[in-house]
Amino acid sequence: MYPEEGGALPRFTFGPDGNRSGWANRYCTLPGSAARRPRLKESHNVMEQNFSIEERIDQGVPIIAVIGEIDVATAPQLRERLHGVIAEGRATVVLDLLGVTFLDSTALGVLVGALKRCRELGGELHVVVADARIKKIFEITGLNKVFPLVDALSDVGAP
Amino acid sequence: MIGASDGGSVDTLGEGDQVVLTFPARGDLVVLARLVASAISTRVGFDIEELEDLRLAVGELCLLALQGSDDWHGDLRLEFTVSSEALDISCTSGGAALAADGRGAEGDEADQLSEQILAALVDEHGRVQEDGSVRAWLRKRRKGPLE
Repeated sequence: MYPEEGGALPRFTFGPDGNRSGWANRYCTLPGSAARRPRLKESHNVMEQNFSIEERIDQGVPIIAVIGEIDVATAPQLRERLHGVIAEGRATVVLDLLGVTFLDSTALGVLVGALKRCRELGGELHVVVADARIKKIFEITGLNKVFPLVDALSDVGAP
Repeated sequence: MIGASDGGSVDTLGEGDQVVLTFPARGDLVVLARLVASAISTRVGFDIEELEDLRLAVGELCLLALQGSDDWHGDLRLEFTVSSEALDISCTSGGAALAADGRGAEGDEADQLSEQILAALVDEHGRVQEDGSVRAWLRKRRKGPLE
């Protein structure tokens, strides 16, 4: 059963003779002879992504802390949480990305959308980011000049 | 380990080697493309910074191949081709489309950001429509010759 048919998440599995089997057999091809083909751990689930969003209020300002990878799969959860907080009338939000290990354009799109909503209400979306790789993504898209980026929560100015 | 071209080390990929990954056009599976990109980057000799660049770029490539879609179905086909001077990667949608809530209301803006990210991280990139499918591609040149 393939994942689009409602089955379990895809797994790369290799039989005892080194041949690929199941989902991987259908979806992945590699160069070289069969003898050189890789052997991955059986039932190793590559789909698992650690992702969580925590929310708290500090001196009346919501702080949304994200842990894990924000991409096309997880960004909708962040969008929903940010929009929910802003819809409650909280114009200023702090987004803590200190625990984020990956960020793509979908995530940036969500952040830009949330920033617009905050500013429409006269507020701001403060982004806390310290990881150089995450900062680089803001820099190459020019968004480091759009968002108020700070290295630590303690650096966020008074709203 | 990944298979190697004739005469190469078993944990490297050499000139002419090609890796193909096909997977359902689901947002939660784009991580597969990034994982494979990381594995291949190390095996063609890219350093850690280049690996991180390619990991991000490949994810964006998948998203660009699905641009303009409003429903999801079908597969994405990702091809990695190793040459002496570069790693070429292409992603073909084959009529596939991403789950509707993936890019959300910020879809157009996110597509522009994808273009910016690719422009900054790789040497060449582009997107073409071919027979009803979209193919997004990139080229990342090596800093030095293939050993």
